[in-house]
Amino acid sequence: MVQSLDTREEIIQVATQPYVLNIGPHHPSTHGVFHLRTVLDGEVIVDAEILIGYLHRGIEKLAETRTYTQVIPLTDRFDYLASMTNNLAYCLAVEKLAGIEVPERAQYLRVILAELMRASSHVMSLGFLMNDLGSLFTPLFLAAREREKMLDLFEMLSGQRLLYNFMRIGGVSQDATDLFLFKARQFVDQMPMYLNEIDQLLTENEVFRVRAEGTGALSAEDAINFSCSGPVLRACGVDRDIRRDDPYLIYDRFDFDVITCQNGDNYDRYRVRLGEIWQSLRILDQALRDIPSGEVQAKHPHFLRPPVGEAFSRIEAPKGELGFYLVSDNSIAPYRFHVRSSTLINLTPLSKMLIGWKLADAILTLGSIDIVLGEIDR
Amino acid sequence: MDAPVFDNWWGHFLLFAPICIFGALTFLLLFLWFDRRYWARYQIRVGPNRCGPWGLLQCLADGLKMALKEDIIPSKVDKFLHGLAPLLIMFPVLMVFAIIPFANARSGVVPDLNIGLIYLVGITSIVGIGLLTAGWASSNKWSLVGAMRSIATMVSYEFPVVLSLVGVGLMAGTLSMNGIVEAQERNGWFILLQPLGFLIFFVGMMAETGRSPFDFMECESELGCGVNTEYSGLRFGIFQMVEFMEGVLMSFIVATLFLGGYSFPGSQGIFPEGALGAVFGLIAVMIKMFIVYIFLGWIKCTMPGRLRIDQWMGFAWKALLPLSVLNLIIVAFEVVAFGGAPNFPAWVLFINLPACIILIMLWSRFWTTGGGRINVRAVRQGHTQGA
Amino acid sequence: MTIALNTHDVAEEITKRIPDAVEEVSNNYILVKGQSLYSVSQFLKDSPSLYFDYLNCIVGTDYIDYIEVVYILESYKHNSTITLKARAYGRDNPTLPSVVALWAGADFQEREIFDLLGVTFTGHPKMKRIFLWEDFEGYPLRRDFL
Repeated sequence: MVQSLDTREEIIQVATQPYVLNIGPHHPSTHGVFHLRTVLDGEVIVDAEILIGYLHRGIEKLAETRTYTQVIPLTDRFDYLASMTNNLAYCLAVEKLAGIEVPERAQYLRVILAELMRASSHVMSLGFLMNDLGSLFTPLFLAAREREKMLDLFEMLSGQRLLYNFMRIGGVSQDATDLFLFKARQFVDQMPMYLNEIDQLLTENEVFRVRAEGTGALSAEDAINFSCSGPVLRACGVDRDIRRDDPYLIYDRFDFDVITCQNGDNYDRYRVRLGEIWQSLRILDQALRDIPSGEVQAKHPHFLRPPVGEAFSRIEAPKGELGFYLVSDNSIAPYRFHVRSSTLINLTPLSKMLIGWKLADAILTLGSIDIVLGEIDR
Repeated sequence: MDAPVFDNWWGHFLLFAPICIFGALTFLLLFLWFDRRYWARYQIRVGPNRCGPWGLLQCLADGLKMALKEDIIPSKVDKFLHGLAPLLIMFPVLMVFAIIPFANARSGVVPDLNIGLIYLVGITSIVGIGLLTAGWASSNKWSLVGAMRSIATMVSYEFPVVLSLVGVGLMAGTLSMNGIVEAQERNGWFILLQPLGFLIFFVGMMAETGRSPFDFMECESELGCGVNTEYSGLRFGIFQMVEFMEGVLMSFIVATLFLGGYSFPGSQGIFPEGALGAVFGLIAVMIKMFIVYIFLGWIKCTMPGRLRIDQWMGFAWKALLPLSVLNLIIVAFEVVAFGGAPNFPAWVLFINLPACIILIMLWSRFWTTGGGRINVRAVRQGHTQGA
Repeated sequence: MTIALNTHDVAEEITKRIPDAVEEVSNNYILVKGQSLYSVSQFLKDSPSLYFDYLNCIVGTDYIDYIEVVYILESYKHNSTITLKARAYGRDNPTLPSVVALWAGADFQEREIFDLLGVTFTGHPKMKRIFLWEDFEGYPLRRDFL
């Protein structure tokens, strides 16, 4: 039985029965093989349960039988829309464990690639969010057009468009050519035009605001209690960004803002992501200006044997806080390899965010949390 | 090509009808090609350009593909209703094409049904029954949700549409489509004489015919194909074709009722009578339909999303319905004041247009979409499995 | 900069409140006894000077004699972090108390450790497998699985 907020007790209702609807693994809008079992009363969601594991590949077990360098291609496949940041987080954890120093040029290159990756991932998530709203792909094509430019840059460097396998322990695998830096500079100069276009078309659009404002709201206390991170956390008003609060690489040398909003609803998450693309462009501008010359990979033995111990290191990935926990027993393979997956933990408050809203809001909320099944299921 | 040829029984059914049907289908296929190229331009891509010169045969290829696919029918469906639903959706749409006047009735080529508006409203309602049948007969909860949404939308938007049509009928003094076009010939296009009625009809008809942003019949990204989920092969092709045909139908109806159909104001007697004049009329209707369709396609491609179903309902009942009632009252007053339909001066435009603007601004200020978070209590017992 | 607090100081504070809880202190982590895990966590979360309101990560590792579960806690107010460990002994049915009542973010992570390593967390509202299907036998991340 569903009662409306003004609780009129005497409403005579036709006898209804809640039914179970599987927003199932096969669905055009679930961003992957994701199963959300909802119980609906009419259109109102009264319960939602998450069932995952359709993409579980056992990467954590696989990593125990590969050398530290051989694990890097495995890490590509977690958040496959933002592979560079996965590689980066893993390499940082190994470097912390083994005590390897990364040369300057490699640090700058890593920052450039991480910020390009963040822009690409956020642009894609904005496009797919509009798709979930029902816009018949037009904003998606605009977003894909911009992402193509970024993918061209990545292809110039690593030869790959999606799963780069580019970072190495101690640096990056190859040096960036001058052509790459020139084209990256061109991209940074021309991207604001597209962001302004998106801003004009979508941010103040009545239909989008009416659908997205208020729905799927999460309070700041709940966000912290549920261990959310990334844009989900910042949209609720919590001012936390690992790049500023616990800087890794050389982020303490760059000047950028942390975007927060107040309400934690779908509209605020969209605004946080759009704002973060602007900040990424700012960081890219500074990094491309100051990049020194030098080596791009520190020397370490071919079969790296870190000393016995454990390390946990995390970065601000586009989807949230991505951490890697490594335990070493002085052999060539990690003893334990675990991913602190940002999207799995961001999904924890999903049923709380959905109950009381309608079916259409469920799809929109799922889209705005921006999940990637590779990272959830591993 | 003289009219009396077609007065014969065999002349009509063996010559005229096949020409019409073949011509109509070819026209629809070519128009579908245009629709897809036009849609592609909004999305910074080219559209079909490989099949045949400039991609003209693409739609034929798609139709053939649909027809040749395996028709998979799930085992639990109600077979009779499952097969009946595409027909229930397709035939009413085709039937409405019959009353659209492509030329003056005096030329002897086009029929003149004197209850055209009632026929229009009645027959398009059957499409709703077809959608409900399709959703119910496919034993699939997603289809049912889609069907429920579509029925709710069609029933809700029926009211504003019918009330604005009554306004059109009042101003023209007749219910027949030919008569409405002749009235526009005398007085001016109804889009200028009743702007509010036109806007309400436009939006309401978009909802009725399932055009985006009200596309519950097309694959909704939320519902995973909605009503069409359990259909495959030619029956799925019928659904797709009907969705497109309804868009074309709506353009024709708007062109006829509000944009003057086959005539221009004051063009009585300019074009020759008979079948030659019919050709001029046909070209005029086509051009107007084209313009309306361009607007429809523009809206479809650039709307950034749909409203939620309860927001659609709120829009129909709380915004469109009162506005259409007010529109009807204003038109009724004007008709009575000017003593019946044929004596309508064109300067009522200056009353109706400001009234339209004022009313719309008033409503946009005070109307809210409503709908929020519902307080859900006591539902965890027994509904979730394995909780 | 997120500061990793001095584990010896924190261990002292814990021992003052809850004696006998801390088993071992190293420079990187504090090892507590399994049964006092919940009370130590509650103290760490509620104490105003420590205020670890954010549970970052829960990881389980299989060292053959025991399964070690690591809790990485963070405090947003003080921008500090600490690592807490607890060990679950036994191969048949190792158990630990669940901290879901304190940090709701532990929900999926504890289910994952149950699914892949076999540690049951008592007090968890829905202790069932999350990645693998219900009838799966065995715990894949254990060292003796494959």
